[in-house]
Amino acid sequence: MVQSFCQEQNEPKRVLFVLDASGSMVSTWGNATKMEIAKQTLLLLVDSIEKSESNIELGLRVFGHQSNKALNDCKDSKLEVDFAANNSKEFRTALSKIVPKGNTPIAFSLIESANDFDLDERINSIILITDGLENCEGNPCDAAKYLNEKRISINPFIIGLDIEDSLIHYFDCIGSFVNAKNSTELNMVLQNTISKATGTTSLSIILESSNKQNISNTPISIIDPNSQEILYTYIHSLTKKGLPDTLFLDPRGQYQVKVHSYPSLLSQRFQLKPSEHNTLIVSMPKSYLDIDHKKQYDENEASFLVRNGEQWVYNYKLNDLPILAGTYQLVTSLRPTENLKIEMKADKLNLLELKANGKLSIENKMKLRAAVYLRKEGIWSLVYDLGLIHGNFDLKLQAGSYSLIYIFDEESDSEQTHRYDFEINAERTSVIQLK
Amino acid sequence: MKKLFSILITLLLVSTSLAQQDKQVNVLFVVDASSSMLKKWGKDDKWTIAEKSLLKIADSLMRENPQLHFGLRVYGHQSLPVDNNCKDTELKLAIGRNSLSSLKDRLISVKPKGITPLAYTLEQTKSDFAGLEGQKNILVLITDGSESCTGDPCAILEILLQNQVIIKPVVIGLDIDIASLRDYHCIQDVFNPHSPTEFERNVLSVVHQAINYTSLQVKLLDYKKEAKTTNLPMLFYNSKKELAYSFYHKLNKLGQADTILLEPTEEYSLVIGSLPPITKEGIHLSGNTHNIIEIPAPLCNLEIKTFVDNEKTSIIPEIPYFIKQTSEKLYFYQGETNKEQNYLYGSYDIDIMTLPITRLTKVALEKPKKEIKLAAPGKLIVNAKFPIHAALFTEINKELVNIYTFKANSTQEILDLQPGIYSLVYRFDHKRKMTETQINNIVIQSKEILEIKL
Repeated sequence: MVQSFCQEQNEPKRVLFVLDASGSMVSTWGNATKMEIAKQTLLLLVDSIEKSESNIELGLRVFGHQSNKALNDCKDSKLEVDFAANNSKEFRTALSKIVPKGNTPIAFSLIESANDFDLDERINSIILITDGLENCEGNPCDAAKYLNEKRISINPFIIGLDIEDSLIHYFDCIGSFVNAKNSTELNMVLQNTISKATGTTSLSIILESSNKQNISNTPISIIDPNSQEILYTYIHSLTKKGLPDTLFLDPRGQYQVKVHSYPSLLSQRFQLKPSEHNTLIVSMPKSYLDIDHKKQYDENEASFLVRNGEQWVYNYKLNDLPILAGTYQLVTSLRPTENLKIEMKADKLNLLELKANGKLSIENKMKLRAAVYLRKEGIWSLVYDLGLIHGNFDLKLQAGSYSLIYIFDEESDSEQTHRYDFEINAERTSVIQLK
Repeated sequence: MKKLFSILITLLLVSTSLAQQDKQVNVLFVVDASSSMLKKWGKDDKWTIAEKSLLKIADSLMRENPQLHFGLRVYGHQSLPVDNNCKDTELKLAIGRNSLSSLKDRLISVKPKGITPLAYTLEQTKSDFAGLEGQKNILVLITDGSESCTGDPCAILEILLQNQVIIKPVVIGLDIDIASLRDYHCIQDVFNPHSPTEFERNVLSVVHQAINYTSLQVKLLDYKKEAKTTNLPMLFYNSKKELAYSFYHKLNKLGQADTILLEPTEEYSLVIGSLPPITKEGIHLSGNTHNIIEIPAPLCNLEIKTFVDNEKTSIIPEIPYFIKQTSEKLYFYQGETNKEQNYLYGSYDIDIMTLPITRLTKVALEKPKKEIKLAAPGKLIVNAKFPIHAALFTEINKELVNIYTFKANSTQEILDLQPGIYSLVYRFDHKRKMTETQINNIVIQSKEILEIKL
């Protein structure tokens, strides 16, 4: 009844990453070095492409990682991972060995990359990831032109790692340039670039809490807004870096995302931009309910009915309830039956403290009819209609002032009704002996 | 339970008529002067206590009601026990406008001596009230023991009751042994002072209450509009919204709503302890008349039955449910499956706390008995090799609904589930791709255990 599958891609496509490992990549960027961030982001992308079974083959060329800067090695560029499908392992191994050191021979690397591709009819793309300008004699603009003329690839995509604004225009002649200001942007930019480079359409779904945090592990479905048919159902996930995972989807038709929170949440309908990476932000004012049971309450014993109008009713049983902020009606199986109104605030742990139960223990040898009333501010409310009872019995009650109204069953005289007032204290037993 | 005590018993026979108001109050004191009354009780003997109290009662009643007429009948004072005189009873003072001193004179002349011909004495009181029918006739019996002769005091009382002479006999007992008390089993109100002190302190108020109270029958009508609904608590609140009385509604031996006595001066509101409760405000009771209120209270006995007979499952058969009236938002009660419970006729919404919740809306309770069958749950055990994030889906009203979200990073969950088709959607925590979400479609069968290993 529920399905999840991935879109199939038929045409194989090749993307070569040309990665800068020059000395400047050791500089700090946020809480890690540029090199570290570039490696992590690249690996995540490679992983996600591999798992999407999208028929994309990836390769990796690195420059500036073999010779120290002092050697001024302008031919320091090497194909580290050859094209193959499902080569994330090779990527991982290769990337782990790379230590940034030397020069930035961008033009040389681009020209070398011509030999990396097989000469066939496939679509080839180059994604250059760099934090600086060419520092050898080469001319990257000419190199790009060369690749295009030789029908090896279209102009490279260039991703700048926080490159100074004044330098950006140097990349104009090479290809389309996007600057990533931080690691989060890098992830998005890389996603987007790969979509463009391969002609795939991808989507990231961001479940955003009221304080702009990313929420994960919530079940979601992607539905067809016209038929309301569920197309895919997933447990939402974030990558290890806390970024939303990427899905590859058919760009045709409209979609809608349904978040299976309590109550469920429906995004607006949307159309994916083809051959691009799309991002959908669903605002999810998540709230947390914690019912403090004071330990005396066995979780199997208590039931909690949570209602939000007529739309939904939930049986809260101490699980991780991804409840949305709002006002709810809560009914507990504690006695007396109470209809609590709870205000669930977004991003807050809404603690509902329940009073501890006490126990009423009635010692009785007779057959009698009895009812338990709560006395509160002069008002009596029926807590238990015990009906006809015979023998001893125990009742769990919330702390308070109560009265037991009872009459022996054989009595036909109302005036033989007895009333016994008693107090229930938390975690204490009150004993009544009926003789 | 009111405990039963000693010597003096006051029996109040309240005669009512529906027609008249502000009737003449006639009190006949019937005093036991059998030999046992000479026994010491506290500082004095029982007779002296009875004598003093009687004078106080008469004095007090006359102050309150100057129109009061009273009389005195004594028994057991003429013959010795050896004579076994079963007709030893005498009207000492005919009912009328008597003075306290005449009552005192008559009492002084009496010396306890013989046996207790109680039934015969009660029989004679009929003639004492002759010509006073329809007035508020009250009989106060003071005695310390049980019938000595062959008569049955209760049988006599029943006759008086059935003739609508007696509404509510009240017993004030002193030191009567349990065996003797059987003679008074039909007497419904028993005042049982513990000691002479308690007797003296309370006897006045007991008599006052019995005389001033007015009677009320609450007729709870069943679905046939017959006054057969019963066994429900009744709470009477006074005009200050304080609880004045609590009774269980009962049918008397004649199958009619039992009569209760209330202070007539108040305006009451009555709350019947049905589910949901019925409130009747603004009840005015007319003094000295018999009042009848009719309240429709048709009850339906509801039972939601879950059949669990399979021993291999350890399913808890009592599942709580919450009930509300369809027209209301708040739930007024919670019940349990496999347990009968009475509700008023009406339309209800019931949420049974199964998983998923079994919602019964607009349940019409309009028959004396209603049984709803609930399929017994089955059990799902999910064991995951690694921590998972998971949710359980099922179709409700043609929509796929997440009915249960697993605890984050759970490795085991055990759930009681209603029979049906479910989808377990899960992803191992260490698998960070959404597309690694897996789906297990499962069928839960009643009373069966399904174990899934992930």
